[in-house]
Amino acid sequence: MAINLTLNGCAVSIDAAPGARLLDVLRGHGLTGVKEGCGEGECGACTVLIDGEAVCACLVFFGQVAGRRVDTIESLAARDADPLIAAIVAAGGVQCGFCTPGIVVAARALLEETPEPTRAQIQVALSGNLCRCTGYHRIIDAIEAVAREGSGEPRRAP
Amino acid sequence: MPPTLRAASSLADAIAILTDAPTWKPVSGGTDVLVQMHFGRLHADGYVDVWGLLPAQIEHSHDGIHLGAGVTCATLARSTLVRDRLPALWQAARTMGSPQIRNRATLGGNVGNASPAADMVPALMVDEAEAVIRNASSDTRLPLHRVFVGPGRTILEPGDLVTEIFVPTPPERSYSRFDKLGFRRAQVIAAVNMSIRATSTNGSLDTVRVSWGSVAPTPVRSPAVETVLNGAALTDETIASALEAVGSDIAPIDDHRASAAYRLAVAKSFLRRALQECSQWQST
Repeated sequence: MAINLTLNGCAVSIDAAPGARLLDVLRGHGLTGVKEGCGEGECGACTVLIDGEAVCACLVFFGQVAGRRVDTIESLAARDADPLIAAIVAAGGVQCGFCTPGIVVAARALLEETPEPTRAQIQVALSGNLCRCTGYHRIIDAIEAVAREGSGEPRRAP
Repeated sequence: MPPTLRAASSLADAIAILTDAPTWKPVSGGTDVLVQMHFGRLHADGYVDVWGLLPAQIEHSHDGIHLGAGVTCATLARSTLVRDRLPALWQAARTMGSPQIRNRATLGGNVGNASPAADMVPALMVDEAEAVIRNASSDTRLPLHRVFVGPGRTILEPGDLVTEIFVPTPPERSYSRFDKLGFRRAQVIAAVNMSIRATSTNGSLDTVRVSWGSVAPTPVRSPAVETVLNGAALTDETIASALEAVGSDIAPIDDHRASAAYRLAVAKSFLRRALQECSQWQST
């Protein structure tokens, strides 16, 4: 059964079971930046945006995104890469990297709603994303730096 | 094989499907359904998607506050009406899960899932909330606590959907608070939660309502504690009697989250702290 949605900015029609998890359909569609950590909404590695809101793709049925806008890390990492990505790399906020896509997406959702977050607001925004390597400080430093530079919007390519 | 998920064209259509297929279940934000599915604990022959079909407004009308069952925790947390008039619910909603979970988790789901550890349900019970239950033939309004019969079990029949939570207009000047014991500040299921609402005149408490989560098979009100406190002055003796009464209102068990004894100790500690804070509030 084909379901129509806007995926990473493009109108697409994907033939998959409505009862499949959004996570599995996205990965099956080649969007493997969406990671499965826990499969129970605990770790946030599968965070994607549905209509601009951060959600765990493991907790959404594919059929529930019919007609909606879904954005994954792939859209943020495309040609006009989100400054959050370079900032997290530069700050040393990536070690194994498994949590990074979900963290970038969650941080982007935060900055869209709150362009100048406090450190406490960043911590709350990342409270659904587990990172077992970094200890979070450098990731939070990076998000603060991006917010300070006023990059409420992802940087556009020239 | 993924389960069958059916879209419905309207709420009435969803109710018709669920009435005809008693082994099917409704799913909204999915934050409980897909977790239980993941662990193989939920057995339904199919699901009907009600996300986007349930009312998702918060309205303050002449009789009280109407909260659509489709309202998410994120929406509750953003609402100044909820913050100002239903502070226990506001606190419960904004500390539930994580941002990702709060964007999907609905009020109706928190009721329908019937977890003994639900955060929003006891926060609503201190305000005498009622559930509006719709089926193919009628809307019924029922005191919220009467929806629950045990862990994960409700009086809801196939084809019944909670469409709204109604809260009678809370008193203008009152004390209210929500507390939750977890082992992180996010992503935790409560080992104990407590909600309280109190009104006071001339230094004496008028009406006090207390409710608990995660310390009984369902969320519960605290009648023995309330009896001690209603009409009383908040002296050290009153507080001691109220704490003494906690044990007869709750029935905590030992599980992987906490022992029964620890739950009781924390429940008393939450109540003591709230009553001390309430006493300070009275003198302002």
